[in-house]
Amino acid sequence: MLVKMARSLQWLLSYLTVTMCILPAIWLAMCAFKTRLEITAWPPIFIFVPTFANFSTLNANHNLGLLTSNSLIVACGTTVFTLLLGLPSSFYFSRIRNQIRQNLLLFLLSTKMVPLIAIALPFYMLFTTIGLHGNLVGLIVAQSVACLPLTIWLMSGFFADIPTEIYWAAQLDGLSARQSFWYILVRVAAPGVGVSVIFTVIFSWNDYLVASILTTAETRTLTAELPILVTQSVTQWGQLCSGIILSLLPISLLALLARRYFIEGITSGTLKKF
Amino acid sequence: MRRFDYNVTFPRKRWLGFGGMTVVFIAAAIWLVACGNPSGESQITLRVIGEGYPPLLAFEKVKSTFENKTGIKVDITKRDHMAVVAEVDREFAAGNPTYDLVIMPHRLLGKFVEKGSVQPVDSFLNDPSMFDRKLLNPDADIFPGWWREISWYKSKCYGLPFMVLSMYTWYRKDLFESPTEQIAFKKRYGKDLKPPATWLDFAQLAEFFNRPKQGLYGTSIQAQRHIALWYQWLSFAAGFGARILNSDVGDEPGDIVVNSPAAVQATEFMVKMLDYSSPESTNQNWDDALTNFQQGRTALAIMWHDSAPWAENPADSKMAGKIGYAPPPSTSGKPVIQLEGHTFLIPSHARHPREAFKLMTWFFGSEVQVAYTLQGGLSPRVSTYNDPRIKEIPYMVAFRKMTDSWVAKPTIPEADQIAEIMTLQLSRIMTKELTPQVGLDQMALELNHIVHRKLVYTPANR
Amino acid sequence: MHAISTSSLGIGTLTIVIALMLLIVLLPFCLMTYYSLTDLSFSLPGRTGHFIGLSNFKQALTDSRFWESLLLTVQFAILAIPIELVIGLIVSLALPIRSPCGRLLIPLLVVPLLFSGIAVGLVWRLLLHGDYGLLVYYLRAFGLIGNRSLLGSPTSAFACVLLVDIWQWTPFCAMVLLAARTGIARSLYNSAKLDGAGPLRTFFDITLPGLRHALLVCLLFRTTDCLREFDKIWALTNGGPGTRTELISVYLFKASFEHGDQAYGSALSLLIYIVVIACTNTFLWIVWKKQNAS
Repeated sequence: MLVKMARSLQWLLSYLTVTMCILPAIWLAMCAFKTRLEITAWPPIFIFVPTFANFSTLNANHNLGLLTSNSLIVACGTTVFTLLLGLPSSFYFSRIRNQIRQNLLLFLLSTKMVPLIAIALPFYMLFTTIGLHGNLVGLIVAQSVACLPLTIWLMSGFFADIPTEIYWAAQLDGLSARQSFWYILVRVAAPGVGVSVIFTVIFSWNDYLVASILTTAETRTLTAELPILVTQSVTQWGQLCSGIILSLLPISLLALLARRYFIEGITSGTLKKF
Repeated sequence: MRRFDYNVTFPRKRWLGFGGMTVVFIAAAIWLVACGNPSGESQITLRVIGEGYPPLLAFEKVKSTFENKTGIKVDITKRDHMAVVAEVDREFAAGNPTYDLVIMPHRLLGKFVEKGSVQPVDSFLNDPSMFDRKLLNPDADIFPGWWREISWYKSKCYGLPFMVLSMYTWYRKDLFESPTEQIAFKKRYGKDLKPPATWLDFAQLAEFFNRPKQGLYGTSIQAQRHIALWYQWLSFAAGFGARILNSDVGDEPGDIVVNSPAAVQATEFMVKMLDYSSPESTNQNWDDALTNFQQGRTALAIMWHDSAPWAENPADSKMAGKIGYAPPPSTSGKPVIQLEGHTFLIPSHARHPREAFKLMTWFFGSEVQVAYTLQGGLSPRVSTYNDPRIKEIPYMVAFRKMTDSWVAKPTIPEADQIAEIMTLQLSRIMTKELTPQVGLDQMALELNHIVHRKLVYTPANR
Repeated sequence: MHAISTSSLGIGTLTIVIALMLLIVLLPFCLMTYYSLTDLSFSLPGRTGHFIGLSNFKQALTDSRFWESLLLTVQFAILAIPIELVIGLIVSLALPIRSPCGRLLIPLLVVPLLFSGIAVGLVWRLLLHGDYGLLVYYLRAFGLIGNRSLLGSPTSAFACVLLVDIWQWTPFCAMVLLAARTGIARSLYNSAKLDGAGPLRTFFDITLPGLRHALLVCLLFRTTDCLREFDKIWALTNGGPGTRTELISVYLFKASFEHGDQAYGSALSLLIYIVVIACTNTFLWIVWKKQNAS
């Protein structure tokens, strides 16, 4: 009897939590298809005739195609760059002795703690001097620098736990050193890679501060463009909602496809003693 | 699972590995940079940056005429308000501006001039080949005094205005013209129901129309901690004869009079008007005030006329066609508005200053100004308001009548800081954390630290 | 073995990573530190970056607004993080991971993490606004808040910001803890059951220790993020009625950009950075010392 009550309480709690999580997203999605009058109506309107006007106005005033493609390029580029650098180095990282490794990790984590607002100007000046300002490559590099500490932390936890026997076994099977590294990566560390990818993509896609400093008109990303809609005369609620929904779609798709990796990866990656 | 602790040593081979990798890295970086940057353009492109609001969108819609006429491409970057200021600040600080034209609120002019970030256009104005005073005479063609306030600083001109605007009274024409309301109002207050000329009128109208149970509030006050609050205060202050600094023009700092008796009166009045507005007022900025008007929840309010197009658009507003526009009230009965505008500025290191100036002057042509206004812009040019198409727009007609009597706001370099400090204290006053007198006194003391001028009204120990 | 662990690829990429960090983060940081010792300002004339030593820091020490916002941020962290951890823990225990229905529900927890900071602030402004907010409507319908403004009232604005933060990050904590929970060996539970341990005992002796590392991870993540909380507060309340929601990053932004006082903003950032580094380093040091000892 008690068990049954506990069980139903469990379910209730779960449903409640999930509802709270997705309620704002649902309301946002509804508002994306409403007119301004309907969005700001009191009492709030649930039954209305949906319209695509917000999306078309948004597209007319801002080059959505360019923005989305920039965001995609930057997100993919950041992920690739982060993995390229992060995977081998975290592999090596996991093999270094405890003391040095922990110091290095502190160094990497401490770079994440600098308030970006404060270094915005020096950051900007640095990139302008290098010539990477207003350049998607520069943005990719900057965002990768922000994502690398987390990736390295995650992945080195993974690699540290892989028993050496697997290396021996792979080498006994005739694989070279590099090949056995890839074998281990693909088979064993895949969930960790999956999680790194997801975190990196979400971070890169949603990043505002770095993108607003380092981009110009041609290289603007979608997230950096949205605040324009909150202007001095009016907040374009309809366009904002549709803009946010549009920017949520690609990463929601990714999260949906990779949901298994997400959970599996978080378990193994961050939590091991390493 | 066995830990794999390893004693990593650093023989020469490893250092060579490090070095080799670093060289490869730097080479790749240089190659990427060379690839990433586009080669020099043969065609001139003018880069403009401004806030992404309707006047700039209107500019974008009319620019094709210029591009076709001169072959110069115009590229407009739209950002949100803070990002424009931040980006322009960064560009100027780094001494490497990408923009040829910058559109800024006029209160920021002093800051840019004193830093040497923008260049004066006097030489262009006096050059007959660049500027034909017969075709365009800004002194006569722009509202008197507005050009000096918006685009001049310390006797030097830095550009032409991009747009001008101010706050004035919006009221519900349908309510004011309703016979039942007129009779009831006359019975209660003994005067005719018409737009307020004095503050007493305003208060009585707000009180009369304040019917929360019917979903109607007398007025709306933009009291959120937001720059909108500062502007709202300035309109009330102008009507009460108060100002921040004791100076008639923006670029001359004056003594601090922000806590004058008139200012205290204006602030107390604003606080009192909170009683006749929505309890949500302390969370409302100009957008929320507009929303409430569009939804028919406000009877009268002092609003920016650049949002009038949305209030008059039936798709966005239930009150389209039902709004009347009138000058703001004042203690004397003669209306005074706050002067506000955005100006074109040419950065000191702009690559194409002459072409930028050409764009500015082209933009000022009478036909272009009318087209710009019809698309949602706010023309600083007098002749625009004589155009029959513009004369059909009630809020533009109303604005034209008020442009002769205005109050300047500071355009000194400390202007932004002044605005931020005042907004904070005003927010505290609006939430009744401080009384108006105390709040204004604190404001005055803080302004003293920034502007280094004396206080005309010393705060007594309260 | 040698070949793998000393592979030049590993060394090379690690070097590149460290070089990038030094270049892209440390260099601007040093410049920022230099600014904090000057009088550089964007708006005030004559302040072109002369060296003035520690004046900015002296000013910061006597700046009541700075200390108020720091205190506010600490209050925020002290309230938000435990709530997120506790609710995350409860939710992670409640979520039915073994049932197929559960497998559909759990990925939906990711939704709050997909929003960018500004989007979170804007969407919640839409929900919490007294004139048209969905949540406000229902709260008033149930008679919970009357006519008062939520975001505009000094007492409730802070609570609103807290609420939004909890909404955004509790699912993250819940998922991390959930994942950790699945990592606890089933055999432990079985033997506990055989020993006749009740649910409470099981929780405190098996579940909680097993979740220790996950809790530490969440704590670390959230602490560093709280101190950099800016986007959503800006969109929600702009610093709030008065300074009620002016957390340290918001004040930093206002000092650097709205006052144009770049040097002072740099000094404040340096102070904040030192505080954050001190806290997290001490924290991690303690954790690792325990780990290395065991």
